[in-house]
Amino acid sequence: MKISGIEIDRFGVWRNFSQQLRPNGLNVFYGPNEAGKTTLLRFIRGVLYGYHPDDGPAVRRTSKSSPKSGLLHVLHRDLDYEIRRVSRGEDAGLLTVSGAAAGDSSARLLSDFVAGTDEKLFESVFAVGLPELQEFATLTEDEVARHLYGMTLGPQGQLLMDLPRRMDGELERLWPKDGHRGKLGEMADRHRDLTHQSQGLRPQRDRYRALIRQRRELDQRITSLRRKHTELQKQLRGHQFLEKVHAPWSRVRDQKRELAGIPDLRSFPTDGLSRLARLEADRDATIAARDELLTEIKLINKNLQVQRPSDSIRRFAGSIRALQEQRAQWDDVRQRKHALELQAAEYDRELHRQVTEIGRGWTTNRLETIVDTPEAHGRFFVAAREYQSVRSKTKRRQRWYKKLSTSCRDRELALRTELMHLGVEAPTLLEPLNLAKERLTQLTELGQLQLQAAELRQRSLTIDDHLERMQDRLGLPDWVWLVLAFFVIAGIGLFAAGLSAGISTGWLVGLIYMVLAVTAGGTTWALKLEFEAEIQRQVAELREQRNSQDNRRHEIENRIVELVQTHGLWDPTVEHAAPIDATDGKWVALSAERLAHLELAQREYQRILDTRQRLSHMRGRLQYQQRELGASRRTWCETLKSLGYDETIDINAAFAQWQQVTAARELRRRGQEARREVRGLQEDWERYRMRVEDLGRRMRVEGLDYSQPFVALDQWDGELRAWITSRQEYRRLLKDRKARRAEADDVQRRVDVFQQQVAALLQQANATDRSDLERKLQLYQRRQAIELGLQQATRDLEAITQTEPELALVEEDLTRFRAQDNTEHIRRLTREAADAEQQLQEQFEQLGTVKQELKTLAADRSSSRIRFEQSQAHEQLHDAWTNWYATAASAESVDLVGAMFEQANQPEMLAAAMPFVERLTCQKYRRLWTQLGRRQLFVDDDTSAPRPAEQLSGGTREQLFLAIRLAMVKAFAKHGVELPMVLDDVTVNFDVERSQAAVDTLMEFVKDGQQVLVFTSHIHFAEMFQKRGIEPIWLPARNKVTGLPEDRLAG
Amino acid sequence: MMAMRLLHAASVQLDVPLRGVGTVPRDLLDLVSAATLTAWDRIVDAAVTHDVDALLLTGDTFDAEDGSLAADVALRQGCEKLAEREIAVFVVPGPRDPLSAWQEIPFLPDNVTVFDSEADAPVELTDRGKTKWVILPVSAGTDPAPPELDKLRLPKKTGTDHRAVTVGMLWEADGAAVTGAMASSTRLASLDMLLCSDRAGSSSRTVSEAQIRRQGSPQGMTPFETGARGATLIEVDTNRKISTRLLPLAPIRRERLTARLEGVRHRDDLCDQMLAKLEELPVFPGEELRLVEWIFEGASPSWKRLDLDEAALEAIADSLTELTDQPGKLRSLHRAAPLWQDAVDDSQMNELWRDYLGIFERQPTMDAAELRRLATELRPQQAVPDGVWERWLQHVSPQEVARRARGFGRRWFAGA
Repeated sequence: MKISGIEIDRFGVWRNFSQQLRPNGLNVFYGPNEAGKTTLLRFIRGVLYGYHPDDGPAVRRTSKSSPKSGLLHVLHRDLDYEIRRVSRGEDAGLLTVSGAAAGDSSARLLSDFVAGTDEKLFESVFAVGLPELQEFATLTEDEVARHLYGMTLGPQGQLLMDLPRRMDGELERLWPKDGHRGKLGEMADRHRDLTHQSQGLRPQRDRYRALIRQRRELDQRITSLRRKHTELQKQLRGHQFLEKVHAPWSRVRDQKRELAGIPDLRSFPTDGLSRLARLEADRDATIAARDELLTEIKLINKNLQVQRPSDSIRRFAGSIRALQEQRAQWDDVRQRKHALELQAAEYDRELHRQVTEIGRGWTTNRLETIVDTPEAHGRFFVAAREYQSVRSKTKRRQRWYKKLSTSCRDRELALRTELMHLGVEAPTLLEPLNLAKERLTQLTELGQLQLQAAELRQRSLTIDDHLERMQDRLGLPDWVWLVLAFFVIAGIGLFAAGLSAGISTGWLVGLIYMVLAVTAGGTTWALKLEFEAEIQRQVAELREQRNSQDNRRHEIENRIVELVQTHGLWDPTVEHAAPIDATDGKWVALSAERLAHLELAQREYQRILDTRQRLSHMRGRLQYQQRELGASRRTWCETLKSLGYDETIDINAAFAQWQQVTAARELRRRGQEARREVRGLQEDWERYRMRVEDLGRRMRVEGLDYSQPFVALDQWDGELRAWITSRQEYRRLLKDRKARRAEADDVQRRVDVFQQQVAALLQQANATDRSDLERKLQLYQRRQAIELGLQQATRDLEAITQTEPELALVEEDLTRFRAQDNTEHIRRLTREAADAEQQLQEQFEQLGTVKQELKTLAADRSSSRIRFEQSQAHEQLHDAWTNWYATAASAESVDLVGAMFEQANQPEMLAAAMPFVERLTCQKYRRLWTQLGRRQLFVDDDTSAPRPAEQLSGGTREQLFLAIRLAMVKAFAKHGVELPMVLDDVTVNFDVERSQAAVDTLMEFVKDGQQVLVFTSHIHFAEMFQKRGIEPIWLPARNKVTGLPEDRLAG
Repeated sequence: MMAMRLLHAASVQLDVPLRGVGTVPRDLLDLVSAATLTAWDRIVDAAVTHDVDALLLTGDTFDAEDGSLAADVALRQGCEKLAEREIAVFVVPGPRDPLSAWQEIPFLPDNVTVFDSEADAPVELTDRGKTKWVILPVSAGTDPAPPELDKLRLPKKTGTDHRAVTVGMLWEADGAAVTGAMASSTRLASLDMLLCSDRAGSSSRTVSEAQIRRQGSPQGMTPFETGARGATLIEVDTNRKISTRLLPLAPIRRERLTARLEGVRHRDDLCDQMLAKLEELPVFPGEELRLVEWIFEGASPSWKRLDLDEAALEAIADSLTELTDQPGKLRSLHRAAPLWQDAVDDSQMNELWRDYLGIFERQPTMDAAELRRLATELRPQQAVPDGVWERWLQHVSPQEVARRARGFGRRWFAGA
């Protein structure tokens, strides 16, 4: 957007100001102080973004803002627009944009003109006065700063910003500046402590080695003492051994001497005497037993003579046993026969009873005549089934017929009753039906006509009411008259006022008032006339309508009368003749109901006729069925007769008889079988009895009843048993005698043996007799005693020598042994051994202590842990120190990296501003830059020394900031934000050279069409532009009191 | 055929603290502080289990300057245990455990033989009158003897060879440098195998066709000693073929793993990658704790995308520790390698980083005077007395400071 003209109606000190501008390039305004230059700037800003309350006139500043009004002519995308804003004082002003297409809103257009920028940005960048130029803070506002400083740090920039802080933090943590210990100090302390502990453990190893040596010495000393102790023990044992051995050795020697004086009785039996006595006793006992046995044998011989059995019954033993064995079987046969006889008798009785039950004329013989074949049974069943079927069918048809006939009769009766209720006596129902229908039709018509007449009557009444109301309304309503009166009065008043105004003030005003009055009066009259005509028209219409309705109603009423008289539609409930009121539907309903009943009766009558016809057909079929039943019955009876049964039409009775006959025949058959079996058994029994009798005859037994064969058998069996028993006894006696004899021989042999043994014993003892034997026994015993003593002494001696296997018996020592001397030696040696043992004990205790301490030292692994921790502490300390130095060493490099990064990543805006800086400062400053992450500007002078912007002189700083703004305006323009730049006395602090440089810079700046409005109060500055072909706009000075321009510029 | 086995360990460094461990939870302090002792116990147990003929220790078995009691105790108890099983122990001193230190140890068990010098007489190990092994110390001055040369010239024999196996233990005490005096002293030696520590340079090894076995410490002492650590079991079969096998014995396993940031979109993906790498690690028997140091590689955009800095890396390492640590079972501790530690390819640097390095290289050379200047300028209020200054300086190496300062470029600028 470019401003092509300014028109101010009222703004600040400006009144009715109008000025055309060059849309492209420079527009220089010169005006002395208080000419209103800044006001013009504010006006432009206010039109574009809204007036401020304090944009009031500079002269009078009251608490209440004064109205503001003006417009800007703008050129936007080759189209002209007018932006007008009018404000009454406090508000931002009402915006209107002229030249816009239909449908475009002013606000949207304006936003488009300013490319979406806000007032703050405009003030910071585009409309700049000296204060804005001088204030550094304006360049740090968010929007401006974002464009100016531009860069987001990015991760690399952020890293380079954070690193120095982190490194400082690391250095501080390890080795603080303030002299506190820090991590390094703590680590050093810990390392020192652990080293001290570790060094304190060093003597432990020396102690260990010393203990090893000590243990070795103790081991050697103990070995020596052990050797000495062993030697003493050995000597002591020797003497003790002598002492123990001497006594048994002496005993052995003496007993050997005595044994040599006794003769050798090696073979003498030591128990000869006792043996001799025993042998003699045994011999005598044996002889006694032999004698007893001989006596028993004699007794047995006597019994045998008595027990000899008879063999007569022995010959028949087999037959008797055979018959006896069969006894059980034949006993069963006899019992079975008896049972069968009883059963046969039972069958006969039952048969007789059943035959009697079958019926009169039934006998057992008749049962024989019954045909009892499967074929006969088949005929019986078939005939029964056929007969049963025909009978069932006939009965069923009879039942149906009866049921249907009853139903038809009932319905006839009901129909007659119904017709009586309806009052119908005609033979058929057709005529009553027709009458009912006609009646219904008539009533319906009557009702409709009555309703229509009533309706028409009602309408007429309504119209009458309406006409009455209309009559009332022929005049205007009161309120209308009031309004009309008001208008008239007002009109008169206005007319008078108009005249007065025409005279006193302006004729036009008076004329207007009079016209108003006339208008009011005329309007009132016209309304009245219109309203009354309308009413009249409506009344006429209503009257005509009512007349037509009345005519129609008369016609309908005449028709009603005709209908009633023709068809007699009089109301029977009232005494005088009045037509039926068919409008409420009651009579119609009654008529319709009657009609319905008659129709139902008609249908029922028709159904009854149909039923009668059916009954007639059924009767015919029933007769035919009866004939069939008779034929079937005859066939059935013939079948019964042919089979031998009684004739009967009762099938169940025939079946029952059939079952009885069958059961009776079965009984008869069973009875016959039983008797047959009895005969068989009887024959078998007889055979058995004959055998028993035959045996008795062979045995020549007399006096037995063979009709009871078992009795004979029992007797013979007893005799046989007795014979067997006596025979067994005889055999046992024989056996017994034989055994006794064998035993007696044996006893005799034993007696002989005993005799021989006695002789051998005496021979062995070399004795002649008993007394000689006794004598030799005494000598033998004495020798035995001596030998025993010698053995014991020898054993004692051996036992003692075995306790000391290393020691040997020396005869000479034993011979020279003196007890007293030996005891003395023993005492001395014991004493010496005890001393050696005590010394050993002490050495062992010392060794134990040393070993315990060695064990304790060996088990203690705490030194390993301490040394490990010391090593770790050393590593950590070394690592921490190295880290500290490495961090310190690299900090400088990191700073340099940051500087390089900074140098290579400056905002574009600053780079773009640099040419302007160079020009404006006449090449004194070559570089404009900012630090990483900070909103602070630096310039490098021609010696490349960096200087922060705050440290520059005021003028130079203004130039710097101006250059930045010029660059920003260019940058905005590249991005489509085209706004005029307004510079309000920004060069006041520039010297001549730099002012010229500013002119050159601005001339260069506007070459591409950028519009710049330069306000200046310095004539020389304006003349510089003038010399360059830019004619300034000369603004007049203002009266200091009135604030009015002394050379007023109007229109 | 009698079994022939030896166990070789080197740089046992009994009770020497592990370096570069970082912060250790209290419940792991004992495990970490006793790691070398545990490794030694396991060496002794391995010698017993495999019924070796001898245990050979080539240098730095302990650190004499530490004066550690626990080292003394462990050494003695281990040797006594081996003595009970009649397993010999042969020792050559090293730079940390010189001969004098060994001689100060009183009454080592009789099965321990400490060679006094590289000229010490060989020791024969026999079994039922037959010599199985000949153990002798050798040094840089040991020349191949004529029999050695003959052995080199003659074709190898096939079939069963019952000659004793000659094993040389490299003498590296007193610096193990080759001096003229040592070079002039010759020894006759025919070696089948030469044992030394992994510290031995080529100049300290004798010229020989013998199989050379370089053995590292059984427990990784620094973050760079990674993977399986332990002792070597040397076995000789009937054909006199020598085979070696590393027995992993270290209770603490150290690893340095690399996590690549390229293609990783989220920190959770990074964690998954790291966990996958952990799962690929083989399990070594006996490992109780894994100390894993993570190196993160990637160009600056990757660092920036994942918003990684030292704190974030430590947080990732801590969360990995939380995920993988199993109290009562295999423990794990993860830490991120300091960003300044590893060299970075120039292609991974961003512009700021390169600028920083370029500027830093143009700074004055880092030395003690420069360090003092920095301290004085940054902490002018605190005058440092000279004695204290020197004491402090012993903790600091100017070269290390410079290296780390260079490395700081990554710490600060990798994510820019």
